[in-house]
Amino acid sequence: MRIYNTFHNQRGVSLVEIIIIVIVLGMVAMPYSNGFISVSRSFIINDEVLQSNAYAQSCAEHILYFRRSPDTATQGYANLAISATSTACVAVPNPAGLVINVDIEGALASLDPACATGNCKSVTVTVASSGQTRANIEFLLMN
Amino acid sequence: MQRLHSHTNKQKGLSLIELVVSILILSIIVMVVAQFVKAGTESYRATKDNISALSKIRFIDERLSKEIRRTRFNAVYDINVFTGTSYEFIDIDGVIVGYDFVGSTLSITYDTPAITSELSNQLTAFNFNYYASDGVSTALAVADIKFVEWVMTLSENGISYSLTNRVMLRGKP
Repeated sequence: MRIYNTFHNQRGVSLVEIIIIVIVLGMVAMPYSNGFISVSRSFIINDEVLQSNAYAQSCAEHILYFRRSPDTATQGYANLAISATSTACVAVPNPAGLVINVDIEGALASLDPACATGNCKSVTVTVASSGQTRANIEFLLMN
Repeated sequence: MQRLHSHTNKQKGLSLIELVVSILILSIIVMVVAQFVKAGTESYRATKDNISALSKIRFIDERLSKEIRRTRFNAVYDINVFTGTSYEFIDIDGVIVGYDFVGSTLSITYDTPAITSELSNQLTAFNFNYYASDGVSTALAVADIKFVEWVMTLSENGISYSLTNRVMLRGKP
């Protein structure tokens, strides 16, 4: 009889309790769902980085050509204007959603000893997407 | 005996409704868990395909960049063929190098030693463009070509990556 009472007094879990537990577990798991979202986001960033690097590289190729051009009247080192927002790469097709900035600085002896004479220009090509830098190329051009 | 019988008889079992409700609740829980497992599996597969596709398109891009820059200059650039799907040139070592896109395959051919190999057979689109010194005008003759551009799309299990890149031809004395 005592055994029976012991068995009989055991309580199960009500439906309401189960639902509350499921809701609580769901709330606990919510922050982890961001992990799945960030994985999806990383694919988009990968694509942006890939295209941004190609865009920056294409721009750098144009500036190198400008520097080496035999047409020294309109191109060449002397005609590569110093500007924080240079238009040296306007000819390069702009992939959708990417913003490029070309910063050309001159006479930067502090950057490289070879520039001590001032015959040196520093070029920084930056490609951004949604305000985030996705590619950055820096190189020096000598006269 | 009588006492034992009474004891057994008073035990409560589960009614059919309770059983059905339990099965329903378990089913819902299993369905929710299954969604997470499914999402995890799909995420793994998508990650694998993404990394694979990215690696392949980067490999092609780097290969094209490095080799096309080596186009030899000899009064004009030594370019034998320049169409939308083919580019053949002589590099600075005197080797004839050719790229051909047919179907979904981009292949590269060297004459010395004679080798043809596939760079990729997963390209859904590939095109060469040739530009003059301003980088905008299309070069119609070999003498005008200063930039070589390629536009490609690589697909792997429904995931596509597109890339446009160009190089300036070097090798000029």
